[in-house]
Amino acid sequence: MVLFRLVLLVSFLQIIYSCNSNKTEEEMEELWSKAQTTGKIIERSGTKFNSGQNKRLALQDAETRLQSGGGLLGNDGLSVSGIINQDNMSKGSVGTFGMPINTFLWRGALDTINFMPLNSADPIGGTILTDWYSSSNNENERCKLNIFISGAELKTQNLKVTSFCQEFKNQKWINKDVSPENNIKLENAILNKAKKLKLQSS
Amino acid sequence: MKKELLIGTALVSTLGAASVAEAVTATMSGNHQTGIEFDSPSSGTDTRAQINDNNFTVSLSETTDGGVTISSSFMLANEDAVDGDLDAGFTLAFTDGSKLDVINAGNASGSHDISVPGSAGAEGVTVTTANLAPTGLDFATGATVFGVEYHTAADFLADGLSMSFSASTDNGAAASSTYKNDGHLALGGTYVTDMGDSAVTIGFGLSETSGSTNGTSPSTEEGGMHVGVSAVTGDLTVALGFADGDHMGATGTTGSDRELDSEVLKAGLKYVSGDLTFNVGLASGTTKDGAFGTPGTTEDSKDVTSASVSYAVASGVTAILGYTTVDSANAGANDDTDGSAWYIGANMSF
Repeated sequence: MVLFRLVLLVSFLQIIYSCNSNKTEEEMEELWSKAQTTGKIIERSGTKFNSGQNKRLALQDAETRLQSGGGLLGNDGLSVSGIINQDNMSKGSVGTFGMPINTFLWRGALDTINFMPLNSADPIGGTILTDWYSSSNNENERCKLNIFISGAELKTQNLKVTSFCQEFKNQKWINKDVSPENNIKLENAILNKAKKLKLQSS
Repeated sequence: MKKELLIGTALVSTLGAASVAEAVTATMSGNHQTGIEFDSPSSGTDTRAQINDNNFTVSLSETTDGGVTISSSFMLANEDAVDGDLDAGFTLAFTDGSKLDVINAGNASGSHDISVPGSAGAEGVTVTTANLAPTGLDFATGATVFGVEYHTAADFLADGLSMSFSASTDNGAAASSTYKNDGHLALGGTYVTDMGDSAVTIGFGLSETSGSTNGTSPSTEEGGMHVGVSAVTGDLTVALGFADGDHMGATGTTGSDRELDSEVLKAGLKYVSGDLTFNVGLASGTTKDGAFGTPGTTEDSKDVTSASVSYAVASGVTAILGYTTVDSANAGANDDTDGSAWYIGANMSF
């Protein structure tokens, strides 16, 4: 019986290699966002209940959150530090109207890219857009960055960096692909800077 | 830094090792379910009762400089007497998207069963305890005291595939007259692709358990498989699942004392129209149960039909009207403890 199940599994794996091969990263993300196994539903709902311990409860909470668009206290529940450390929390965010953004992320982003010319910086909306920048070591390539800070907490999910690069060929600037890993490295550099700023301020 | 930022073709080549800053976070969250259930058994008197299930959990999370997130949680209150208070182990979330659950880890097979729509209400029909037919796809359970479960990142080995693997053991207590899981191995997978305008999910899992008693041993060890497929087309979700396996069951409250050979077939659909969600589901479970060492020959069965309408009142709040009817047979004979139930209530998540 076990052998039969393994043969079935191997056959299944062979079939799936032939699918999805031509899909873009965005198309795959879209498909994953609609995955219908219980584990994936629980994972994307933001529920804090542990499915390994009580799957029924985790799934019930997950479906309530997914159907209603989150929880009564937002997607992430109520932060304990938000209750007992209100002063520090308020110091950690900027933007008295509109969307609050984390001040350490904001300052960390500006410090990290301070050698690049800025096109615009909007602390209310949390956007930093740089102008094109080339280094003296490589004048045939230029890059610009779009940095988005989207929340009051100092965490990875509240920072998004998108980079664009061009190469000078045949007297024209030609767009070139930028590896998503480079965007992640930039995000990590900004997050690291923000962490140091926070430690310095505490 | 600016010399290093734009060298060669890479935008960033040496911005240092991956490091993610995130303060320790402690988050309180919970779920409150309350409503009224109206039971109509096939024989006997109609009854009604208030249904409550309130749970409160605290989750803790910390991200290291290396980018690994360590999280855990504990439940402060749980009114569900069956489940009791539950403390999770630790989950390590790695930068590549994979995760490792350690201590009290779950069942990798059960993480990947297809979600088949059915009533979202809390109503239920309690049939005779002698009827051991399961109605869930993940009835093969694991030993959950000491275990690890590894979840791969999305697009593992092939685009659209993710898998989980788990191994666990028990607490080492001496075997008794009832069945005790000694060890458990499982794997499960989720595969997503598209077919025309539909997003298709395939879920599957395999599970094998070794166990013991100090009396007569079961004819077979616990083990099973499940497979299911779901298609999402616009606002409509259609799902089908099947599970087959051997497992242990209990007719009383003292522990597993029967060996079961079970099958479950489930089908359901969900339709979302604005703030309203409609669910309809069918589940048919059968099992042959017998004393340890004596495989059963006659079938227990449960045929469950359920439907619900839920309305998203506000963020985190849904109001639910549910209906479930169960047709039960025990050892091949009709069982008049079955019947139907209505439920009206609300779920609140915070």
